[in-house]
Amino acid sequence: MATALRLVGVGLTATVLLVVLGQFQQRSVAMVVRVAAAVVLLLAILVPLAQVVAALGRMAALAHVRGLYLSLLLKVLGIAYLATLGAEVARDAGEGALAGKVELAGKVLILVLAVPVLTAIVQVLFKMIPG
Amino acid sequence: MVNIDLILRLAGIGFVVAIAYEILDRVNRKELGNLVAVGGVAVMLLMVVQVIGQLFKTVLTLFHL
Repeated sequence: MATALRLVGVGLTATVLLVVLGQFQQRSVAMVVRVAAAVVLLLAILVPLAQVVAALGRMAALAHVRGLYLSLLLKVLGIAYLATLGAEVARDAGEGALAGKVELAGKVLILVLAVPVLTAIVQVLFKMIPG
Repeated sequence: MVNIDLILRLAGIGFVVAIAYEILDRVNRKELGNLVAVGGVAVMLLMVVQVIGQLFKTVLTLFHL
């Protein structure tokens, strides 16, 4: 509960500071503060997220899921986390096209991670089909 | 864990830089004002880069990347 209050407080403080900074001519100064606020909030979120990831690992061990698949899922989550941060920062700065490229890069990297699983599925399918 | 000091420090530097730019602009020293603005943004970026590196490192360890 205290963490939630603290995070919302940081968000409100940063918002007020950014609105005041936006009145000046220097857009780049407000941009740096915006990036810092986003990074600080995401860094603070990672601590509770680590507990969720640990719980996921315990559940996967209970269900006898192969560690390879859980690790793959976590990698996809990490890439999505970072790519979303980069894309949102670029979009905030008015660089919508660059944001699209960052998101595309994240999608391609996730696809690269998914290819081995896809090939495994296709191989199993071909084994099931006789002839 | 929540690093609000960084945001407050950055906003403080930002205020000083923006006001210095406005004052130098008023007294017809725009080139000096631009220099101050670029220097201030560079200093702020140096402070932010360390936290971004910390975020990347934490994400890399957390998600087994």
